[in-house]
Amino acid sequence: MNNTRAILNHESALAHVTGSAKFIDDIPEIPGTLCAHVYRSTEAHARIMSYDIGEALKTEGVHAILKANDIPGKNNMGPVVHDETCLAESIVNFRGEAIFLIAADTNEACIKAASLIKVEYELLPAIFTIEEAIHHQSFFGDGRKISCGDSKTALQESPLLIEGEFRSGGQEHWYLETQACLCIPDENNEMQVFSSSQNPAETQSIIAEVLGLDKHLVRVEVKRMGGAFGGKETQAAHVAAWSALLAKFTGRPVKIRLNRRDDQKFTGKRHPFLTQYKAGFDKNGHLLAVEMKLFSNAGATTDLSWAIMERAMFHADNAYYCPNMNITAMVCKTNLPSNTAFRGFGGPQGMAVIEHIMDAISAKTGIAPFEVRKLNFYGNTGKYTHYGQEVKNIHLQRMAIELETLASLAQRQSAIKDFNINNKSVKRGLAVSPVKFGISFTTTHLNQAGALMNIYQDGSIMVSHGGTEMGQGLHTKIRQIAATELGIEVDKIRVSATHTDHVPNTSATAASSGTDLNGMAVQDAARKLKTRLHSIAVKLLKADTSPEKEICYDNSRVFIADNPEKFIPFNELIQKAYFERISLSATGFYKTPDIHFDKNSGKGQPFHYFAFGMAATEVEVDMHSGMVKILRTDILHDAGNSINPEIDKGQIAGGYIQGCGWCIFEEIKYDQKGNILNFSPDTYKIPTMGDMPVDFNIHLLGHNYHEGTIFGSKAVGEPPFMLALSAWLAIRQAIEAKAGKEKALKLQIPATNEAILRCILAE
Amino acid sequence: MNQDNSSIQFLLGNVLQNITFGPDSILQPCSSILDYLRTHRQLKGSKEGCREGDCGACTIVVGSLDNEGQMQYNALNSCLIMLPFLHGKQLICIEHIAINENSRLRLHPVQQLIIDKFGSQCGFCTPGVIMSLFGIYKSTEKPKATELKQILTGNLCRCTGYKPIFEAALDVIDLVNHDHFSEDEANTIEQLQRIKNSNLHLKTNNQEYFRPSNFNDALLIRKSHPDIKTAFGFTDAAHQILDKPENRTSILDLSGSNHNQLLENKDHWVLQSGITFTELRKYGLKIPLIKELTDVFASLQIRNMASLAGNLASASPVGDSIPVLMALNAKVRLASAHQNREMYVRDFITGYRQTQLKSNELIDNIIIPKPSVNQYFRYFKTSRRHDVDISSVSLAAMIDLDGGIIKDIRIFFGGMAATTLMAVKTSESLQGKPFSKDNFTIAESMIGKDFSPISDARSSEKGRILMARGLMSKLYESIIPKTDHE
Ligand SMILES: Cc1cc2nc3c(=O)[nH]c(=O)nc-3n(C[C@H](O)[C@H](O)[C@H](O)COP(=O)(O)OP(=O)(O)OC[C@H]3O[C@@H](n4cnc5c(N)ncnc54)[C@H](O)[C@@H]3O)c2cc1C
Ligand code: FES
Ligand code: FES
Repeated sequence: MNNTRAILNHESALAHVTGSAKFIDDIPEIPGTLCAHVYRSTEAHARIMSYDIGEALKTEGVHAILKANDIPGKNNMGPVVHDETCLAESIVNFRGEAIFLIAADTNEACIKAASLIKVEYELLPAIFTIEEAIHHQSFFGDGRKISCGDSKTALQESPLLIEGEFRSGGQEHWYLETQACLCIPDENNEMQVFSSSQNPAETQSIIAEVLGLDKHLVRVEVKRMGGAFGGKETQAAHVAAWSALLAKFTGRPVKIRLNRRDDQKFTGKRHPFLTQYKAGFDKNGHLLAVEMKLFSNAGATTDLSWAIMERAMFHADNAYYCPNMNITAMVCKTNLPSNTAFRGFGGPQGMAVIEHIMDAISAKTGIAPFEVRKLNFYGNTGKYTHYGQEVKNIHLQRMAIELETLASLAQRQSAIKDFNINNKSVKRGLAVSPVKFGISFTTTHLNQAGALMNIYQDGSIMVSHGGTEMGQGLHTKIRQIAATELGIEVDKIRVSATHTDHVPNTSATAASSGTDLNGMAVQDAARKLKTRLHSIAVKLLKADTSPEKEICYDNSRVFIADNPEKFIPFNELIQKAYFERISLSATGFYKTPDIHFDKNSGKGQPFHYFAFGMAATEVEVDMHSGMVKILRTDILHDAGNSINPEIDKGQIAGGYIQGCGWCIFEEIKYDQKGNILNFSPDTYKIPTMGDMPVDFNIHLLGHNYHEGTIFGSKAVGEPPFMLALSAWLAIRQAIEAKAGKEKALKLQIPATNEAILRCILAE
Repeated sequence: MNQDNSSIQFLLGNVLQNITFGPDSILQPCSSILDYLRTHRQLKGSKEGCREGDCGACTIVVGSLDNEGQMQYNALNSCLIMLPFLHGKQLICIEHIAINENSRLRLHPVQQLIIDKFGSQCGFCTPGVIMSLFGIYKSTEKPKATELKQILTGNLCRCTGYKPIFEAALDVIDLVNHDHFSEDEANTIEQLQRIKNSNLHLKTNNQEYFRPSNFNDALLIRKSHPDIKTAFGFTDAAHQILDKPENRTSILDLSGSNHNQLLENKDHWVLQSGITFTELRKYGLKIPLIKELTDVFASLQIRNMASLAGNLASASPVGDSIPVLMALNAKVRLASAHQNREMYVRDFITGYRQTQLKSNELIDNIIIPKPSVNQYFRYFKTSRRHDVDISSVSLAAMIDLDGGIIKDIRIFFGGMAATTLMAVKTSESLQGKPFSKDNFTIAESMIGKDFSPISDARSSEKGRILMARGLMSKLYESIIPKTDHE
């Protein structure tokens, strides 16, 4: 029996479809649970001159109003750099920064109390955009550089040159479940925390630090998240820290769930980027040199901004080899809520620039866009990246050939040509873009994972691991891995909620690495158990004890490799083992081998491997309204030897559509004073079913076992997001058909209908 | 006036509920169905994703008796609908559609389809998606495959990319409507028939809520309660009502007033004010013009609740029906307990979210003159996203053509000013001119003289001008035969 590559439904599917799957807000409330409200700064940058909470405290039903100096531990919730206060002290650095926490019997009482709080501010100058930050030299840290070759000389010697600026916009996560946390104070100073977090261990740390407790007193449990996409990697800890503070003070359970508008207004988003670039190439379209200066808008605190910037720098090459590169970066400090992780983690922002450069090369040389891309793929003339890692097992060339057939690219390009000749007011475009995405946390020490496996006397099994379930199907794959390893039915495996008591010191479920890391740790635990069971199995099977004889676990049976007829049922083996006093509980551990990166030299091997993908998207653009319809998308993606192809295809479809949102119509707008204008789904638009490609085909690259990963599979969470760049590039093709190459090249990200109209009609 | 009733009766699943409101009620009548389910019934399957009608995570299905006494089922956003709406109806939510048979769970076919297609990832949108699919499953006229996407745009999913949900929906339309609800239908109908359709007057210490069963009683309540907050579908009003307790002390809910007929005479259509956009869509067969409007309006869940009169009365500068009704030269008939008056829609709207409606009046009906054969009506909207999006700019036009000459033209723009306005100079420049590309190009250049739009969350000023020009080109191209394209 092999549970890998089986059609195995999502582990929670039954609970999902019956409405019994519990999210934080669905946990039955213990009587006495208090409502909470976060009192936030109304100014973007100001000094708090004075405040008055006296009247508010008198409001009926109010149990506590907390301020910075009530915090028993450290007033910090910054995950990497400790530059983020839990409650503002004397200065507020963005609009929406928490100043007070209110707990009351009812929501109404909270709101009433909040309305009675008075704060006097002295306004300080505030900056909101990357341009303003550059002007005021407002940065986090000193900047970074990754380079190879000699880009300066190479640019001088390049026959052809382009330079310019490129912008990509922010993006709101719009996970369906907003940030939420329930904290229940327990005896002996313990705090029980139910959090919607991608990072229970960090949530535990931050709560422990804020409350001034040892970490072992804080128990964080994550059953599932209603979507996360990076938005709950660090920022889930905010609501957690706040509710823990209130719970600690009142001695009552406290739940905080942000409403949609507050979540949109006050939590971080994808970083907007501005890139100044220069590229040199020859008339055959070969890329010779690239210089990029990347700027991101980080908002008011560091959060993960530097890690995100680093990934953007690592992906400024996307799938293209360039012998001379010089990538420098600055992270801008502004007075906006701190931007944070979002699927792709800087990758999309870096890749978009090089894809833009590819289009520009195509425009200058007259070589078709896809041809220019193919010419420059890794594996043709070079395979070392600008940070010195060798790109191995390159699938790009093979994928290009297969996709050309799968998507009938040649025929369709000529059909589109005809269509565009015959139609003036709607134009079509077709574009192909590749993705090469590095898998691993680029902060090396995070690449570790733990697991706990308990076998009960009846042979049923509980697995707990450090990863969290946010819809990506991690627990489903973990079940398959455990079941395959022990040769039993998946039904016999339960994956428990992620719990800091089960597995300590875990990393966030992020960087697409959930299955890679935790799957390996689970396999390790299972193998340890099998080692313990070995001698008793040998005894029961009356086999000779020579070590070459492998004991097999399959079909819920245990037998010697060459003699499957003679077996013992798995659950009998477990029974016997129990009576023989063998420990049936094991921990597993994994750390990714052979990865390292030196931040100072900008060189190393930050990634365990690369995942590849390629997409061809055809769009139709209405030249009068600028509105876009995606007609057809064909994706060929590299998931290695997929553990669960249907789940992987689900990640691909979801990532691609989310990427289309970023590339096309998701746009975050601020007014001059830094107020976010579109803070509700009324004006911030994520894709609906109507935006799905009319014809949407997803293929996994076949015959693709990848050495050195769990069952030969590859990570699939983030890479497909960037396949959506093909939709943006296709829109450019459509614009080009109407208004020429030069105007098409002006289209940046997002390509909103307004942006498209501006390009077409640009003077 | 009809007899008043201080309680509501409805079926929750198949169990009859009777909720009486009195001074000490904890449950308030002006509570959303979502809050009722989640907080008061501990039924936590329906989710809150936005609380403003956009995400569909809260979708429920409400069964009710149609004019023939048969069951009809509608998918609705439970976050926007108030509890009294359920009076005399059947509320079906995610907890009701699978059943326990001999202590074994029997899933509803739509649930099984979502499992089989891998249609849930994080699962938060899933209950809402299932209920929308269930609504399709229960519809007497199954939608065509080509209509499915439009029907499901009211359910946002951030995980799946919709592909598996769409594939499940394709299978749903092939299923025969046979489930435990159909098995039990005769009984359901009987139970619902027994509930008296009376005026609801629900009063607690904090709230007074009227839901009259006919339009005349509504007028009497308006008269005696000049400050009462009035709503029909609540799709526009729910915001203000749910956000602030002081806005829900006194409510007049028109959705039970049975005022939803389409009347027709030689020259006019008369639409009673209680017609929802879903009904309008159905009537669309009779009024071809209206199709242009309903095709681009909101989501199914919203269309099932939202009324044309509510859209008009909200007087939003980007309300879809307003330019349409203005261009059609429609009139609105306002009624009070004493008298009625009629005026052109363009006169009815007086400013940003302001109308001529007096505190004792209600919109009784909307009167649309039938266009003649030479009249061309068009409506276009430009929005950021194709579906469930308010327009950045919209254009409605009525053109009278006589042998290639524009005899009369009225072009109205939404989104270009604080209210919907006629593009006077633009229209005038075309008046009496041959219908030609050149003349339209001249007209396009006049838009800047007619309007100086604002920049806001939807679009910038410059963007709006570009969009308005684009819509003029669309207008031109939609009327000339295709071969004549520039
Ligand atoms: C998700 C979503 C999408 C939407 N999409 C669109 C869209 O695409 N296009 C668009 O134009 N709008 C849209 N809307 C706005 C809204 O749905 C419409 O304006 C709708 O027509 C309002 O109708 P209603 O019956 O729900 O009005 P209500 O919300 O009940 O009432 C709105 C106003 O009208 C008044 N009113 C209602 N009936 C009468 C009457 N008979 N006499 C006098 N006054 C009356 C009420 O007092 C209130 O002031 C959308 C709303 C949501 C939540
Ligand atoms: S909660 Fe989003 S539509 Fe009701
Ligand atoms: S499955 Fe997560 S939002 Fe739809």
